[in-house]
Amino acid sequence: MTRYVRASELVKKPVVTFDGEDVAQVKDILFEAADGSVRGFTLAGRGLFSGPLKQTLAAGRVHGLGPDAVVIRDGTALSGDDQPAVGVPGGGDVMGATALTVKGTELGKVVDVIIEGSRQPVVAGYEVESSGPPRRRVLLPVLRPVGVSGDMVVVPDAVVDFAAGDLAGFAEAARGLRHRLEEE
Amino acid sequence: MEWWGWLIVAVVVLAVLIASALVTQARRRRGGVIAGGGQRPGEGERGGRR
Amino acid sequence: MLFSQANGRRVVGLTEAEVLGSLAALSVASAPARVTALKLKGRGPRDVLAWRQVESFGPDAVTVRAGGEGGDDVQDDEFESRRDPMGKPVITEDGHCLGKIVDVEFDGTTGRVQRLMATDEEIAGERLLGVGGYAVVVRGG
Repeated sequence: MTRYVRASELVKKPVVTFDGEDVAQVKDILFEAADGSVRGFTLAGRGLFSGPLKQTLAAGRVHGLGPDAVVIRDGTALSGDDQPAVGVPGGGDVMGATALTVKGTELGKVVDVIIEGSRQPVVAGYEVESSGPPRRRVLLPVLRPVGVSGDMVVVPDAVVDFAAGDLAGFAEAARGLRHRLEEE
Repeated sequence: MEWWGWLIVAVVVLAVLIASALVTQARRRRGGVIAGGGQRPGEGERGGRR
Repeated sequence: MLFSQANGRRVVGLTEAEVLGSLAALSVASAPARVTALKLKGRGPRDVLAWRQVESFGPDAVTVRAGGEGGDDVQDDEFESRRDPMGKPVITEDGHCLGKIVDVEFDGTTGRVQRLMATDEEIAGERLLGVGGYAVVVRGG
């Protein structure tokens, strides 16, 4: 079972209750820049003609998160009138942002975000397309970005040594980076 | 214009309206990955909130 | 008893001694996983039967006691079709899809659902969390 999910795979995925109903679909993934923790999701309706919903889904209310669905216990997991909505963070959409190392090397454009799907989902890395030529995509494990905005994601230089080609290799790369950081 | 000419015009206008509604709603449903400023009240300042 | 084998079997009302229709669909509930109702196809006066009206799942016919106002377990047809697992995607509690339901194995006497057959995997009835309009949700990865 893959623990890692691409954000692009998660967007538009149905939010399914234990009862088997698709009550919404994922719109935005909101995360905390400082520690990468996913705070929650904004939602859109499932119908062809439906738009964004006012309700949001806090990460703590998610039962399971995988490549095919976000599973919640029941409809009360969504923010209603009785529950505060997930706050909209101040930053922008990191998709398309420039990835830059602390020492000033431009790695390319962020084309996807890797999310570790567990009880508390976390942004575990970024998929970056180098501006090339040749253009190539690598997955960078980023435990703690130095800074994140809608324009730029600043990462430690060490992550470059742990670039992976695919999600299978990414798990290994993330472990390697964690190991290196523990040694330091 | 013949009566069916108006009918074609009406059908085309409706089709365009429906298509544009579908496109706008699909665009509104599209999402992204939004980074938070990383600071909440009382947590101190770390970088600027945009 | 596999639904694929029982599908289309004649459903006979014992008191009326006539064919009410043929079996067309099951409605399944969880905790415990069980068949709650049958949907019939045919020209009979009723097309939905509660499981407790079933007398026996015989080899040639399903016999039921459909007489009287026995159908109060069954609220309406819309509710029933939502709970029909056939063809629905199977989603695990950790968000993985195991394919679509191709068959359901149930006990013809008690109505307990023993196994759900998905395209990628066979799932024990105890793992069922719910059947809804979108998917069949099951426990475990």
